[in-house]
Amino acid sequence: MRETGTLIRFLGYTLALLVFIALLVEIYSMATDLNQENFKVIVTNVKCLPRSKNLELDVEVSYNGQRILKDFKVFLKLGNIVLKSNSTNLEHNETVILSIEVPIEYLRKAVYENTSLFLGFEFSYDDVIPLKIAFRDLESVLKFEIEPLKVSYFIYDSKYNVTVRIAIINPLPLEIHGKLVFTVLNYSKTLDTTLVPCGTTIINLPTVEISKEQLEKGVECSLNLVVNGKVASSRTISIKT
Amino acid sequence: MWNHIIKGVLKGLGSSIISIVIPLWLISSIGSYFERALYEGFQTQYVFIVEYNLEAYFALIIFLSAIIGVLEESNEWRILGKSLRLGLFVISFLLIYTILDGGVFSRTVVVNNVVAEITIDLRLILYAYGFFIVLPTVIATLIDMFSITSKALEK
Repeated sequence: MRETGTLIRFLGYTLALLVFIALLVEIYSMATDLNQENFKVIVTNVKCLPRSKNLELDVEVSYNGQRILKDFKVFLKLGNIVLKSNSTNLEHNETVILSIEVPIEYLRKAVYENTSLFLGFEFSYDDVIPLKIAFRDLESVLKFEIEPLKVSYFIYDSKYNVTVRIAIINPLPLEIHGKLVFTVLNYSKTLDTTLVPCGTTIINLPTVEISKEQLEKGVECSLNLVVNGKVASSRTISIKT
Repeated sequence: MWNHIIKGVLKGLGSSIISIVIPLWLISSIGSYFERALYEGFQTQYVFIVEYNLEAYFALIIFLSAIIGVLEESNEWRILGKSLRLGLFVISFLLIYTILDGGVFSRTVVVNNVVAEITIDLRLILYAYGFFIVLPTVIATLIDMFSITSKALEK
């Protein structure tokens, strides 16, 4: 009877050793993949869905390692809510585009309630080790872009009256209410701004008086879009004759 | 008498080192190895890290195991020693399972000013430990106990 106990112990320990060695090999291989940056996840497209009025993110995922990444999914974590894409299996040198649809209510929470926003991916490495990596950099993707459109000059008594027209691109299917802080030299003005959903809003900034010399040297004009007390986008425009 | 004590202590040390210390040291080493690879791979800085003070638990487990080993060597206290070893083994497993967060290692790091949450699920290692080391040892100890009891009854 004692021999049976010893045999059971021996079998168990041998199997455990084999499992540990196999896992060690897998983890070594995964660490190598991480070191060589063999996983890539890039947001390629942000689009508004006209019917549902939701937002869709297209995420390009690629893998250059030697193993199989099972059930590869990209996900968006808004506070406690996790939105996931469909899953796919990624093999060596494979690139796939996965999409996540974000309902408008969740977006509103992210914009107006300062909910944390994480974009990430998860998979099972060789169907053995589950791994999940989430990055808090979605703000850079869902950014409101400020673009200068036209700068008009009007000469007045050796001074220039300068008017700048800008466009703000809102990638979200939400009407955004914010403030635009416009600063040039010692002049600063805050404008209440409403951005149209999934579109471009044109804004004429107030006319500013600038001397000829200053304008010849070049004047920096800074624009800050503040949404819910937080700077959502910034841009500096250089004005020069 | 000293012979029994030395033999018991050595047996206790040996069994705890083989069945508890080495596997758990291996598990925590695998976790740390992955963690290092993660930080090197992402070229990032530490923000949050949990230091596992496994050595203190190991020392306690080895000490108790040595005492239990002495009990197991004595004819009168053999069954009690085996029962205590069983209890120690199960408690050690549950304790380590808790310390290692159930095998799910979660870390928050900063990469180029971007906050990243990284989670690796190493539960498989703990399951392997449970099924291939804890369970066979428990069964083998129970068999040993039955064998000792039946021999004592035969006498």
